[in-house]
Amino acid sequence: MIRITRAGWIYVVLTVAVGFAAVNTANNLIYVITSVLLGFMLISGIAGKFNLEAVQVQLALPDEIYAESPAPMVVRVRNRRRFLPVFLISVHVGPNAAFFTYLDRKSEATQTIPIHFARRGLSPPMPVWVASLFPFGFFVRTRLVDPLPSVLVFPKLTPSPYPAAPLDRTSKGEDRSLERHTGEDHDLRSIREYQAGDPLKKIHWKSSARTGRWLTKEFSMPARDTVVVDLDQMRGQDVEKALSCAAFVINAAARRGAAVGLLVGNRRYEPQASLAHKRKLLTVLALYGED
Amino acid sequence: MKTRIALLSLTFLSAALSYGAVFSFVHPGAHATFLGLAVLAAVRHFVHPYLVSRHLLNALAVAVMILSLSRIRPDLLIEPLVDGVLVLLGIKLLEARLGRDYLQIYLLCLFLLLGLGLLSLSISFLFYLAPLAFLLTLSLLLLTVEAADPNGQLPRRAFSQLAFLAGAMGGLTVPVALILFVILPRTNFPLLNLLTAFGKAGAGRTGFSETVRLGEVTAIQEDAAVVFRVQTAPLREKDLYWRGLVLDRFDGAAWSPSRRVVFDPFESVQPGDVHQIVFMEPFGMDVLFGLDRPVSIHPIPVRGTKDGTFRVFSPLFKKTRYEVWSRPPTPFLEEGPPDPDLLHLPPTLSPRLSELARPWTRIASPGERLRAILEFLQPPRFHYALENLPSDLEDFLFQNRKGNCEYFASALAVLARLSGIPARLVGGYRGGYYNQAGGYYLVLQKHAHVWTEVYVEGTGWMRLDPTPPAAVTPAELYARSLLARWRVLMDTLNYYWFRIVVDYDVETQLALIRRAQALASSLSQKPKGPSKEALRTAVLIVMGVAVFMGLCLAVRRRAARDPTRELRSAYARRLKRYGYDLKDWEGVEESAQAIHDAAVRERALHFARAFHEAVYRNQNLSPETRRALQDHLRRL
Repeated sequence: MIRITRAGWIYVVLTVAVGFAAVNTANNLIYVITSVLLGFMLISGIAGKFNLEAVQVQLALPDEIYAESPAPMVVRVRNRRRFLPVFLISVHVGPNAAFFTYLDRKSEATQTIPIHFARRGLSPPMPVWVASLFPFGFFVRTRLVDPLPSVLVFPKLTPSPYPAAPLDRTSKGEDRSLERHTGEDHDLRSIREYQAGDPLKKIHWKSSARTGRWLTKEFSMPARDTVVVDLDQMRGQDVEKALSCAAFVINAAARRGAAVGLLVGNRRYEPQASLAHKRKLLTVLALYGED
Repeated sequence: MKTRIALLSLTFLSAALSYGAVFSFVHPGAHATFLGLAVLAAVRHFVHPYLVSRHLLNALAVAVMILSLSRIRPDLLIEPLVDGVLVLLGIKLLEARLGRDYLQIYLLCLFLLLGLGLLSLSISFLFYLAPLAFLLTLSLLLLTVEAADPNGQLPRRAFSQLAFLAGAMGGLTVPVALILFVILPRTNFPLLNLLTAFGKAGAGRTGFSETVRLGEVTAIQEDAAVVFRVQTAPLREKDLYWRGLVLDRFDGAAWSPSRRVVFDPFESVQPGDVHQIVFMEPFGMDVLFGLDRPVSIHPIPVRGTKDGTFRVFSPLFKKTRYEVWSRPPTPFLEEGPPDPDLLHLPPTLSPRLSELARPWTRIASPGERLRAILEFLQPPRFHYALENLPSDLEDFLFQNRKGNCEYFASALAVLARLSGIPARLVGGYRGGYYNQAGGYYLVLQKHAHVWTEVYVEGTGWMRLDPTPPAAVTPAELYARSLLARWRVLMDTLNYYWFRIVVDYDVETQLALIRRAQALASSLSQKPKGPSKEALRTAVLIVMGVAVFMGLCLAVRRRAARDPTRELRSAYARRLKRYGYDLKDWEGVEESAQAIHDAAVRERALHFARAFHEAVYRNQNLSPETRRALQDHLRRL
């Protein structure tokens, strides 16, 4: 698909006018100018087309996505061409876009852009397209690529009191209780993908810089609590808010290493302390009332 | 490297190139101003940025334009404009910030080049155009990048890649434009007659008609359309008479050719005859023109008469090409004595004219007689004029003594006949603009001219042009205008268009096909191979190219070689023999552990451990280790 920019319109109108003058006057000089203008347009169009066709796009979303908070999406662009570089590529995912000025031949580049999901549940597939102004900014050429498939969006995280101990938060909204765990807790257990709400200080900057993704340090924790979230008990408010609070508590519990369970209506999920379990519970919340 | 710096450098380079193109035509003041502005601009953009008021610069630009426009005089048209554009370029260089500033700079560069074309009146500006077009294409590419990513950076190699792209796009545009130029729809009938200067090239054109009435040539001379182009070596200015039709009958008001249905045979071409190729525009005339005096015309069928007129059998309504041989020296001889009709004058002719001629009839020598008549017709008694022409010959000779070529030529012919000398008029064209680039004369309707020929006993036919030589003819007037200068320069393209495209007709096409057929049949009949010499050269060239390509590939290969990768793929090939596929993401040890056969697994693990040890722990693959690993592989 091609959209003509303002400069492009000027060029087109100029070409048409000169072409009309050529036919009208049968003057070969004007014919030469017309053919050069047309030829230049054609060649630049072909150059733009090849530039765009050479691009391969891969998108990667984090494992956990929460509604209303930006999820870092990694856009990976690859230039398939053997001899020529690719210029001025923008990758559009819904309303968001990543821009790449230059990609050398047979190389790739990544960029992380925040992507927002307004609602919990299964998001509708998002159209993805690449666009380029190359070579002269007269035309914006676009090409649709595989759309972003529908992803599961967990409910928004609304801070709510953690059942065991009152939650103490720093001015930045970070969980202060984590700061107090001293002793052997600082032992680095693993590094995992960043999840919304992780405190900045727990980000492993070195690995993040190396991989281009945000990674969070996980520390070992000696003691384990057990928390069970009863959705009906949180129902004093509207459903969405209750789901948000429940998601927050489950998340907080999992981060503390506590085993967490869930009661939804008459369904019961036994407390467990694994990442898979946490995600299972969040999935239940995300799809609550949707099916 | 910053895109902006590269863009600025290219822009300065383009400006420098255009400045160099017009360097020798520029006023010293403009030199100084431009250089000063350019230095200020360079300091601002490359060394120490400082603020400049855009309003101040705009005011300066307006002042410069007013100044250069006020300097324009009829004989100094382009130079002030070039000076003005050059200073504007300096101002814009200083201002360059937004995308449109750059676009304006590129446009000004093109204007300067156009100025060069007009000033030097040669096609040489095309040689400046090629590098400038390349620079401008590259600048446009960089400008697009800079606009999309302001203050961005690009790796150094990206610039050479962009330059390659710009070159490739420019190079590809030329053949595409050529094809478009050939196939773009053309018509001889303008859709709208907007540009009258060019519009007359189409329908409704008039040329010489069979009768030339007094004052009629003036009407022809108003037309700036091209009549024909003549490809020939440069000729002497005094020989530039293009002969068309001979007008030998005078009825008192108009001259016309006597219709003699005579088919005189062509004279044979002699050494020293001037050869010309004429490309004639369609004017609906049946007369063919050639340098005075044509003796033979090829290859179109014509009938020629002994007075040097050549006619085709039906009027020409399409562009036509023909070859002419001419014999410029005058006087010349014609077969047989002149027709007695050449002394005939209409009975209605005013007796005042006979009175006027009476004193000359008493001069015995015809040469002296003619000299006296010619002298009589010269200034200051008679003047050349294009307007307020006399009503008839009598008026011209006695009262209103100014007129153009027909009046002078008619007067001379009539007075010659009155004094007993056979005389006639010749209608054709005088002069023409020589195009050095194309090697041809461009002849316009403006060059239309009428002169006289007289027969002197014992000498032959003499061409006499009584029109005052210092006269400013319409053709000369036109040559002074800017439009005409530009047109003569640009007509080269029309000329080549005519030669390449129009000249390429069905016959040429058929000839080409015949030649291709002949070639094909000769090839099939005589499978005579190329000569030994040619064969050897061809083999050598092919081998050379192959060796060169092989070397290139080897160098590439060598650079791309990674011993770890090679070992890994060798291992993968071994695994394949046992029916295992080493996936891209699979580790060497991982894959070894997945082997079912214990013995094979053991050997594979042996290799895998050694491989890991060497590659991941020591991070150093010495030649010995590599050999050891290859040994492991062989045993696998």
